[in-house]
Amino acid sequence: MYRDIFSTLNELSLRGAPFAIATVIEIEGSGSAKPGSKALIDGNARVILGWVGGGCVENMVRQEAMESIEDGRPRIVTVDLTDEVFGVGMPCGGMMKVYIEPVLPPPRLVIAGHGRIAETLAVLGQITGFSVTIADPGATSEAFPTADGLVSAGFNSAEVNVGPNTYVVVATQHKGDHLSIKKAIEGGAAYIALIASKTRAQLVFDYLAAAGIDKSKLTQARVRAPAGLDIGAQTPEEIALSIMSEIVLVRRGGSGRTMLEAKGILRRDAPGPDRQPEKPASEAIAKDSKVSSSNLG
Amino acid sequence: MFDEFLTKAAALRGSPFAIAIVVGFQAPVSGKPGDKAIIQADGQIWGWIGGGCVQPIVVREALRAIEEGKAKLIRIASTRSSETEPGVVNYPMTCHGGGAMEIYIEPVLPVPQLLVFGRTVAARALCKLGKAIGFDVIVAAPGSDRRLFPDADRLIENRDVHDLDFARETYIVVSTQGEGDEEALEQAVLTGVPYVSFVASGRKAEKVLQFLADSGIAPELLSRVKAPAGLDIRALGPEEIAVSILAEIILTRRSKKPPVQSETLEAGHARTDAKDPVCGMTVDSANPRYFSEYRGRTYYFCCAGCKQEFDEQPEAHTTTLLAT
Repeated sequence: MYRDIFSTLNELSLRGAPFAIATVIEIEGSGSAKPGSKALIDGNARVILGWVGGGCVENMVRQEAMESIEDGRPRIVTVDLTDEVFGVGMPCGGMMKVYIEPVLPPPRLVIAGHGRIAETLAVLGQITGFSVTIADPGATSEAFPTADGLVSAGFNSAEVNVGPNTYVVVATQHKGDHLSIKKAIEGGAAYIALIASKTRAQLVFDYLAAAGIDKSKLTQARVRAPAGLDIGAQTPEEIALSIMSEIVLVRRGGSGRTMLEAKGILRRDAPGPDRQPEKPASEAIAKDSKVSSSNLG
Repeated sequence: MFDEFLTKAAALRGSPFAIAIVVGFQAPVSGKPGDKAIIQADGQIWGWIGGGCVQPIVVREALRAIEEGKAKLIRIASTRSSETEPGVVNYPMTCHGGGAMEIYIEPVLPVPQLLVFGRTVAARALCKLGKAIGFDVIVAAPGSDRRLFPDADRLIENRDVHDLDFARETYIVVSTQGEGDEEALEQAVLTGVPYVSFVASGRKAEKVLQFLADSGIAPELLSRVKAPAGLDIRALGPEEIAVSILAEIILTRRSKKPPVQSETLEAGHARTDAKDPVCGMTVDSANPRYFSEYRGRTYYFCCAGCKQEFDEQPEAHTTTLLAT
């Protein structure tokens, strides 16, 4: 049984398909499943392998599995087996707890461009668990030894797909960047950053507006220009780190302030960093999560 | 010359300095394109960058470049450009000969050190990410080895960090998670390094800080410990936690005072700055070659010509000086 589960897990994971694992962790009363019983549920809410109980339980577990695939969070579901709502006509009796964990394909970080910022970002992305693709004619495997893919035809070629699990950073600094941003918006990317001067960024936004892109998609929350958290980054390496921090923030939430400020902890004599209060990132996040959930939904 | 220059620059690794290179000139000036000098944070100059006319300006701008961490171009010309260009600092050419020079000044700052206490997964992620953004990473943890930290610049297999150079820009993260938290945090705060963060929940951090306070560690050392560490980006897992901590380190780095002590800078200014009353040029009063006493004051000159002119008609020049 275990062997089956793990080989199927491996296979699904290699295919890059999202799924969830449900494991019975506690049981009271009469249930057909035992602690340790497992089931794999795919992205279409089908049980593809295993068993965590019959009709009483299965519908609920499948539904929770779908939700965990959507929000990416594991959960423990308590199923009251005496509840007739979930029953199949007669109460089963007892209670069980099921741990449900989603297994999602790694998020993709697609970097359009090359140079020191792109190189550092590729390494940071790889360490942080992203599948990293460099889409740029000038990108070499020497400069990007850890990248999962290099697309020399560039970001705007058909070889690069953008979806809701894609994080896009455009650092090309050339005339194709407006098309790249358009492609990223239309693909519903989870995060879009444009590394460009103010003047260049404005030209890109003007183009996008003229090309009929909805104004609501041209906000700072949707297209980050300037890109990255405001940590005063100066060197290319620091800029790459500020972008990586912003990617984590967009993915997970948070205010972007220091933990001490966010938690309101002020120790006596603590010399706080000398900076302006951060623009509330929460608004930006709310918008982002709306975008991604509508894409998933 | 160039070899020597690079050797000198390499020998200074670990302390801040600036290089100045003449990149343009209009005769007659003594500096030629390619002339270069190294200016250390204490104002010491090594190399050749033209004569007394320009040297004090170069030293001053080099110290500023070290302070600001930014490269710049200085233009010394008799006809002052009315336009201001970003990154270009204009100075009047006050030498009698006229002419013009352009000098590129670039600060060379030592790579910051990241000292990580602990051998947890977060410590390992910090080591990897710290290297990725170009820091020198030192790990101090009993029981650590190269297998855990393959890319650390230095691995200390205990908590003894006394021989590290803390005059260098250093950031310390304590990520011990139960393996000698108190001992490691104590070592960390006793270094006096301004940035010390402690990877722990707020409650755990308070307990450890209280323990150290009770054991007699100065409150002002403990109050600056950042715990919980990092930026609030809801980091999940050791790698994201490391990203959030490094982001806080950059934030600290970029909002703090420069590595050069401002007293050094002030002293540098006071020592080098005096005004030639004849031509208005900045001259080095600490190391005067041409000077005259007049009515109880000392006047410094850039060259024999100015001194001669002053000595002939001192009143004319002292009045001018007072008027300006």
